[in-house]
Amino acid sequence: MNRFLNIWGKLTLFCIAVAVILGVVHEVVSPRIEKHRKETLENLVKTWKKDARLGKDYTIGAERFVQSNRLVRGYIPLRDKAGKVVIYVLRLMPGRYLSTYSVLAAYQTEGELLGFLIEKSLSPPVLTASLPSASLQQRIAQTRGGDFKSNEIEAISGATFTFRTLVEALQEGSAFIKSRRREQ
Amino acid sequence: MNGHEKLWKENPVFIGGIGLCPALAVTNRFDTAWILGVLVVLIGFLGNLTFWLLRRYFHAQIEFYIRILIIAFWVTIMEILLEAFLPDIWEALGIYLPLLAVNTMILLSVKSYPAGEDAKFTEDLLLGLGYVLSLGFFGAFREILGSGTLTLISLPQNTVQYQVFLKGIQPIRFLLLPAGALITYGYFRAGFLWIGKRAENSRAGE
Repeated sequence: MNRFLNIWGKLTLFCIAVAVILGVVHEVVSPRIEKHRKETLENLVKTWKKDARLGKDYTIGAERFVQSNRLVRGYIPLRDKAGKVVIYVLRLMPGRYLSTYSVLAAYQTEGELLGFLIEKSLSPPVLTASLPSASLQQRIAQTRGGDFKSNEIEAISGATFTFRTLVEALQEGSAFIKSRRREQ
Repeated sequence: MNGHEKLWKENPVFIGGIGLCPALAVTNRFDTAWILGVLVVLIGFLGNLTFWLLRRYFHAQIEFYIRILIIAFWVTIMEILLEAFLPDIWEALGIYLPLLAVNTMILLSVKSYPAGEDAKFTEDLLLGLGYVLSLGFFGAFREILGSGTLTLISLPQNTVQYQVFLKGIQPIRFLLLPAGALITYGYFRAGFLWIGKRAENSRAGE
């Protein structure tokens, strides 16, 4: 019995020590992680509002994860000064073929697309290089949400299936916002 | 066993087929490939060092669980630090970062030392080096031929990337896809086995 308690006690103490160290390390670096997250969102907001500043114009809500959707992995609400949700930032994972590139897309509460950012790091360089230029981004945004056809985008870009998956994800994001609105 | 045999004959990726999942998934870029390899070596080294320092306090019956806990601890630490300091790499490695715990256990700790043996740091280092070199080579091959570039590292403010192909030459994009990875791996494995066999035959002929 004593031997069992000895082993159990030491193992418990070790687990507690590990948990405490992990907690401390996370606390120390979390401001840096938060800063990076804020900068990424700010870059996204600047795609349609050049002088926007998060914390001033919008406050960032907690990220919610979505498991029931093939392309939408999560969303972050942005609130205006009055505390009302005015924008949803969706984390989209296109990539039926190339499974690892992530898109942050901002929608108005009616599902209209405002802008999007492709997280370059997730995709191989050749795809990054051929991903939408600023003008293409503008043209997609001008279609106001999910009204564009994927074939039109192919024609604009003259590029590969990457765009098709991107457009599909953006459309799905818009549909996701609309369905949430209907549920509410 | 000498270094050459550890690196070549027991090459964990191309001969042993160990850690293939990340080897195929993250090698579409050179930087993610070599960083993943280095992380495996680093975590293995730190894990063994921690275990070596703490083992006297634990009963031999629970050594295995302590090993797992220590490796998982270092993997989590690396994950947190990567998220904070190299967020691009953290995002690119994704699910393969937590999987490092399994790879490290398979590649270094469990394979090399049965419970109770002293740590064989040199053997570990050579195996780890084999893993880093294999991933690096695989990653460089796929990125250069697949996208015409070589990405050394992605820092938050700057990406160190070189254009390898001349303008006008189209890269073979297929190599960046999962199927391209598998086919490339198959050719490399066949090459490794063929060279090994040839060396054996020539030794037998002497």
